[in-house]
This record gives sequence, structure tokens and C-alpha cells, in this order.
Amino acid sequence: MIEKNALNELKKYKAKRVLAKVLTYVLLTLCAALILIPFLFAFVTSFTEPMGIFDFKWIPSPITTENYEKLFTDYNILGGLLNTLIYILPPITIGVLTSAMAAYGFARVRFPGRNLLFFSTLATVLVPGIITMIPSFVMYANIYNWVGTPLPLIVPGLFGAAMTMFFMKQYIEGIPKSLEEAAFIDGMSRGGVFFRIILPLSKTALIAQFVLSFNGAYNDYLGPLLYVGTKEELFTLQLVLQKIQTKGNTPYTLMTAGAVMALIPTLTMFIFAQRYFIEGIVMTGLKE
Amino acid sequence: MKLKTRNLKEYCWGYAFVAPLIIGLILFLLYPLVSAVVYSFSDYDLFHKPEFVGFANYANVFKDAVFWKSFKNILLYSLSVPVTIFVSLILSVVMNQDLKGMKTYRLIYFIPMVCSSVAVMFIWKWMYAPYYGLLDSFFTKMGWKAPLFLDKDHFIGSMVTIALWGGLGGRILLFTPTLRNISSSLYEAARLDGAGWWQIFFRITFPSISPITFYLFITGMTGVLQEFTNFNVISGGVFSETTIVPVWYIYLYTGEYGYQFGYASALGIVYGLVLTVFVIINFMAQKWWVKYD
Repeated sequence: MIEKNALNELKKYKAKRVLAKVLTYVLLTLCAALILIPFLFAFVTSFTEPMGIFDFKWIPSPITTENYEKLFTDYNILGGLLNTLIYILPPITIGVLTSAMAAYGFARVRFPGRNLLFFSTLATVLVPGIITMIPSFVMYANIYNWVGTPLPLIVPGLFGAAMTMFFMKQYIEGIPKSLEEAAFIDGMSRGGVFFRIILPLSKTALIAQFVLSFNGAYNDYLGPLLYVGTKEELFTLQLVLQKIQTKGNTPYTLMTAGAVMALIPTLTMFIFAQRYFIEGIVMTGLKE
Repeated sequence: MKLKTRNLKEYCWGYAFVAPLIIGLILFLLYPLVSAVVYSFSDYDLFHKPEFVGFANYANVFKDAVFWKSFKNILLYSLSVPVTIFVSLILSVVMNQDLKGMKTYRLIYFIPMVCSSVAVMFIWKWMYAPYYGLLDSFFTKMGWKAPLFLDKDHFIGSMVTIALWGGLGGRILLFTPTLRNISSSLYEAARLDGAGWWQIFFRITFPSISPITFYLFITGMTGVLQEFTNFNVISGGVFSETTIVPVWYIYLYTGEYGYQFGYASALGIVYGLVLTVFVIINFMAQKWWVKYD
């Protein structure tokens, strides 16, 4: 009798577990569907004829590539992509490097004023960007005469970023000091240690920071709008995209085709560099 | 003597390593920061010399109805931050089980985070489109009356929905390792003591995740309060009382609204101070609910 009761309890417990499992999967799948449906809807729309949106079908008839063709003929989408890459690759490759350099300096080299400089650098992270937006614009217009050129988007980034430095410092502090000491005994200089030992050992962190910076810079909209927003030949991909819609005219088939095109580079990178994205986010947190 | 030269060499390396970053910050952050303060006390249009006007710009900021309207809009929109954190937390707790496929779900939820705002806003503008958009068709199919999702009564709600949709993945990613690190012996002990689900959540789970929750809240708020792209793109670059937000409003002074850089700098400083005070208050208030080990 007791045994039978226990058996019933066990069955009940097992049934409950199975039910919980099923409910978990149902909930998670429903949420995944809600995340993916807008993408799917846009993807299908991008292969629909402009008039087809008034009677939307999940399988368009006919399936057309005219929206994509139009993006290449009527809009300078390739030029936009090329401009974007030209503007963002130098600051993020060199910027990650200069940030790592500063990180190493702060982490391992002793020099007078180190703590003061470090904390002042860190404090700059707390300054809300909106305070410097207008005076930066004035500075680039007045002192450097760079408004209407992509230089304000490129040059500051070359010097590195306080946030990137901070997280690289955390990472570098985890590298054993004994490795450096061995190299010093072999007669290597500080510079040699940084380039031959620290940088190669920080590869994961460097790639993670690079991937995140690439994503941020590629998707930036306000910066390019401020500095090259009046010169169509200097437009980044995001600005070319925004030009597809005009006041009162929203050609959805073209807009969704543009969106799909713009998503390809970052999605591809995400698929191949997932690990670095995730590591970067867990390391750096979310930048918005 | 030898020791001294060695020290000197070490100092030189130190300064050389940090020099680029420091120089960059002085040129491109400190200089604009100081000039923001100077401009904010002057009348300045780029073509004439700045003219000192005292606190006139600041007085005008407080009388500027459009600015405060934009502030109200963004405050309502910032509700998306706690909402997103809450939903992410629930999903993270649900996913914190020894089940197959959780990694795949996490990756799917993360996809919107790598997408450009312009592309995402195009997609959602089409989702929200009157008559033909997917949501309108869905409402109609269900026999409900579809609202105009982007009109003045629904605009902020629709924007919050997009923020929720796009913001889950990143938060889940950060909750996951923290949840996984809570020792299972704590849970077992609580269960043996007869603690219920809610008690376990508030006594064990929540204290452990409070630091990351605090972090997500602060970074989320300061980010969202400076949002520009989403509002600008979804409204086709045309602002109205409904769609204007502070950063967009300040941006207008670099062209559309003429070059009133003195006034625009004052706007930036006032808004920047609002954000900073918000952060400071939260840091002081965290002792009431954030538990660091």
C-alpha cells in the first residue's frame, strides 16, 4: 500500500516535470517566433512587387528581385557600404590597439601620476555624450574645418576609447606577471613585451572589442548625419538607407530590401564570431 | 645611479603607452567639454564672436516648452528599460534549467541587438503600417479594431514594444552566467526549510542578481534617455510634438533651427546634468536593494 502510494507520488512528480519542460519549450519557442517574425515579414516583403504589399502574401507571386536591383541602380548602396568601411576600419583597428596600449601602461608599468591619470580617464566615461555634441560640432567646424568631411568620424577613434581601455586592463591584469619577467631577463624591452607577449595573449579580448566596436560603428547614424549628412557622395550605408524613405513616401518593398542588405554584414559577423560577441558583451556589458 | 636611469626608462614607457589615449581625450573630449560651459553663457552663431549673456540661455531652457515636451516623451519611453529587464529576467530564470537548446534560444533572442537601428526601424515601420502592415492585418483577422500604431496616442507604446523586442537578448546574456553561479545548495537548503517559489526568488535569486540588475538599469537608462536614431528614422526625419526627444531637439540647432550654439550648449548641459544627477541618486539608493556578496 505504502509502496503504491510512493509510486503514485513518483508518477505525479514525473508528470509535473514533463509538463514544466513542455511549457518551457512552448514559451521559449513563442518568444523566438515573436523575435523572428518581423525579420521574416521584411524578408518576404523585399521580394514582393511594390503593388504586392496591398495584398501581402507570405509566398510572393511573382517573386521579384526588382527592389534589390533598384537599390543598386537608383541608390548608391555599394558606395555607402564602401564609405562606411573606409570610415570605421581605421578607428576601430588602431583604436583597439591604442586602447590596449594604454591599458597595459596602466596595468603593469609604474610611473608618477599613474593613478590620477587612470581615474581621470575613467571619469570621462561618466560624461553624457549629449553635453559635448554641440561644442564638438563647433570645434570641428571652427578649428579643424572638418564638417562636411568624414574626419570627425575617423580621427578621434584612432586615439582609443576609455571604456575599451578599461576592459582591456581587466583582461591584461589576468595575464601572469612571471611571463613578462622571463622576457625581461631575456633582455626584451617594455615595448617588446607588449607587442610580443601581451598582445598575442589578449587576442580573444582584442577580437571581442573589435567585433563590438565594428557593430557599433557600422550601425552609427547620428555621427555620420552630423558630419557628412549634407554630402550625398560621402554618405554611409545607414544614411543611404534613410534616404530611401522621403517625407510622405514610404516605399516599403524598397525599404525592407535595404534593411535586408544592411543586415547582411553584421549578421554574417555575428554568425561567425558569436563567441566573441558574447565574450565581449559579458566582458564589457551593453553599450547603447 | 643605475637604478635611477632604469626607473626613468620605465616612466618613459609608461607615459608613451598611455599618451595617445590621454591626448585624444584632451583634444576631443576635454576641449569640447570646457567650451560647452563657455558657449552656454554666450550668444554664439559660428560667424560672430561669442557674446557673454550670463544665465540668459539657462533661463530660456527652463521656459522652453518644446524641450520639456521632448523630455516628457523620452521619460515615458524610458519605461522600456525596467520592462525589458523584468521580461529578460523571467526568460532567463525559465532558461536556467538543464535543458537542451537553451543556447540556440539565447542566440535567436540576441539577433536584433546586432542589427542597425535604421534597418530595424524600417522593418517596424512596415510592421506598424496602417491597413497593410502585419500588425494591422493580425488585429483585423482577430476581429479587433487596429489602432494607428504610430499616431500620437500610441507612438510611445509602439516604440517601447520595439525596445522590448530588441533589448531582451543582451540582458538575458548578462543574467545567464549570474543565475548559473548561484549555488544549488542554497536552493536545496531553502526548499528543505519549506520555502515557496516566491520566497526563494526574493530571498535567494534576487539578491544574487541585484548587482547586474542595477548595472543594466543604469546603463539602460542613460542609453535610452539619449536615444535619437529610432525616433528620427521611424518618423522619417520629420519631428512633431509626439516624436521629438531631447537629443533630436538639440541636434536641430546644428542646422534646421539655425546656429544658436550658445543656447544649444546650455540645453546639452542641462540635460547632461539631469542624467548625471539621475545616476548619482541611483548610486546612493542602491544600498537599499543591491547586495554585493
